[in-house]
Amino acid sequence: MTDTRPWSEDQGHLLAGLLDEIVPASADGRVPAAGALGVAEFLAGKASADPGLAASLREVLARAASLARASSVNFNDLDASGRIAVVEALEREAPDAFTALLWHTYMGYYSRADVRPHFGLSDRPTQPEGYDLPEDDPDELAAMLAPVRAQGRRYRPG
Amino acid sequence: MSDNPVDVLIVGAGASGAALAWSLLGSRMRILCLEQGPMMSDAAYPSRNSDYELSRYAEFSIDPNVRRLPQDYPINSEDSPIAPVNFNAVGGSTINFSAHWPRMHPSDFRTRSLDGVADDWPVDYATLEPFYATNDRNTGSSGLAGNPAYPFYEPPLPPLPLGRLGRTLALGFNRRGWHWWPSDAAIVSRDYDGRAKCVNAGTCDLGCATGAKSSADLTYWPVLLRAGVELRTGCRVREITLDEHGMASGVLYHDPEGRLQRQRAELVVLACNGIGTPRLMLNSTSNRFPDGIANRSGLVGKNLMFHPLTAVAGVFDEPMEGFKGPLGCSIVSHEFYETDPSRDFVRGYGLQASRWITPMTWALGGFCTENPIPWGAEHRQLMDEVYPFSAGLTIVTEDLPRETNAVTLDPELADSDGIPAPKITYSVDENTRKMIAHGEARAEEALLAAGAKTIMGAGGNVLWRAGWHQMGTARMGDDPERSVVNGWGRCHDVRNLFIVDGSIFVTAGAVNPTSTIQALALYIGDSIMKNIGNLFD
Repeated sequence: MTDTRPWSEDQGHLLAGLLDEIVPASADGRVPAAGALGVAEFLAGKASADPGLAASLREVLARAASLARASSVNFNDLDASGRIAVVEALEREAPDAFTALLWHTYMGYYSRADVRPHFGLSDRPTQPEGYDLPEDDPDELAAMLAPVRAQGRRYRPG
Repeated sequence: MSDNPVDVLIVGAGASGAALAWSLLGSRMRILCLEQGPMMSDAAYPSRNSDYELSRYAEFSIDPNVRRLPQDYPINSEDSPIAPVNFNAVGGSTINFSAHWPRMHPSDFRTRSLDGVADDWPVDYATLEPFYATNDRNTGSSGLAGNPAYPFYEPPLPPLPLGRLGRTLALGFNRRGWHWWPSDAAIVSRDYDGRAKCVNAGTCDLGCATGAKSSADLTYWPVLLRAGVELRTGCRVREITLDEHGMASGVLYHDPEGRLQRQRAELVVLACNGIGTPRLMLNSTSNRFPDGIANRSGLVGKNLMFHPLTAVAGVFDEPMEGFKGPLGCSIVSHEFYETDPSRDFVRGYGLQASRWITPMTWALGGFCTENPIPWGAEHRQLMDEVYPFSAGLTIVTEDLPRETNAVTLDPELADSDGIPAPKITYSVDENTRKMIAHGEARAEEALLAAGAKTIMGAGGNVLWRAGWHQMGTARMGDDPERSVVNGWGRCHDVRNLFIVDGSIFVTAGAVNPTSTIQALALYIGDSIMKNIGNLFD
């Protein structure tokens, strides 16, 4: 099978490392970071249909590799502060390309069903099941609204 | 396709066109509706897909310039801080609207008399009230009777659940001593008219796959089709044609294959909303109307009104579960709706407590913006410690009409049939900016009173992709020099040409307009029926 990803295997490792810095794992470790979750595959799919995005991602990867080489190591071999410094430099030096990466990383990460429950949402589509939301007790609602009713009319006749 | 003349030709199968057609059913006239979009299928709605949020940035974007579907036309909004949003299909923008369903206030129809600004409408609230009520029944609206912000009315269905978010914010309004009320909604809270009640999915903008949201394709159109109204989808009207007497003779339109067709009609009704309608009129030029059909006043396209919006959010100690429940409907406050001489602005605004957005949309900056939140550790902190605990208030301001806010034709941009596209020229006036500043401060007070620990605001900026409500571009009035249509929607200049959409609004109020748009369409239909014997005299 032909590999249609717009980057090499090494660049793929670099991309995964960048993604882990952009969306790190949750503090409790239950939700993986974006790279570990495989968001690079989402980006590859998007880039294969969007030459502009593909160019932006290649630009980011080339710059990131170059920035890491300045420290004589691969990006993924840098320590945490070094990796963050590279991402900060990307954001500063290639803002359009970096924004494209950021935008699509968030899309890829939060479109995953296995991420949503971390925020309380269902991993299912929203329909047809939806969510349980109890109906308000009419008496309780009336009590809540009693101060509003007590204010009287709040409109001007036309 | 047949060119046999019809009695009534309606352009647009959205909220207003559907309501108008319904009001004419008793006439036995042959009614044809041309709609550029398709009939939607609930099976195709993205809320049935696991990656549903992605569609907000693609084929189900609220912005036609993002969707770029075959039925969409581009809109040049480079000269506007607010981008118009819509949907083109049977049901129109009720397919992706939030279904917040307020009525306008009585004072909204009398702003000149009461406040010395804009103009009075040629109809008033009392005249429209029975049509609001009929439309509520036809639609299946939910709400609570007795809202002191209005003359008494009773929605046909009980209110939707407030949810934790709504109950929390209601507490804040009570602590401030301010008005609030459960939102009226065009969403069924009980099984109604063959439709199942709302399941609180929260993604109302992605189409309601279970059919609880009262989009016009589910409310009016099934009745219309059973009654014999003809609906042709995929048909985009190019221009309205005139006969030698200056009456509308029909339209030229592109069929689904793009071929130009002619359709004759005795009566033509425009129902394309506040941008599509003036666009079509300005594209319909002739020797008699070189500046666009029925445009002797020069007001076609002028006085465009949106509702400039901004938002303030609070971060609470408890998760707000804002993703549960209909997106646009929890509670609303009209505490600051009416003019108060002690303030530095005239007219007013509403505070809407909508539900909270889903994670991807929040991470990308919000529902009406594109401003991704930061990356890295701050990203994680915002998503884990702020997003689930947040609730917000949207400030919905009244927009007063100004002729400089306008829809014109773009000299270069065109749709896929080569029809010139609309261009929006719009600015927010000083009165509105003062309202926004006032509203932001009051929203912050309400949120803090409700228990918010932190406040996040838009800093006085209006939300960009928020031009849902498009009004005023072919206004009603008794004076042909200062209005495009008369008090029942008939063009002053072309007696068999009617307009029934938001274009004919004289003022905007500070509420979502669809309930009023449909009530007006029903009123106009009723007026046509009453005047049928001498309609064109």
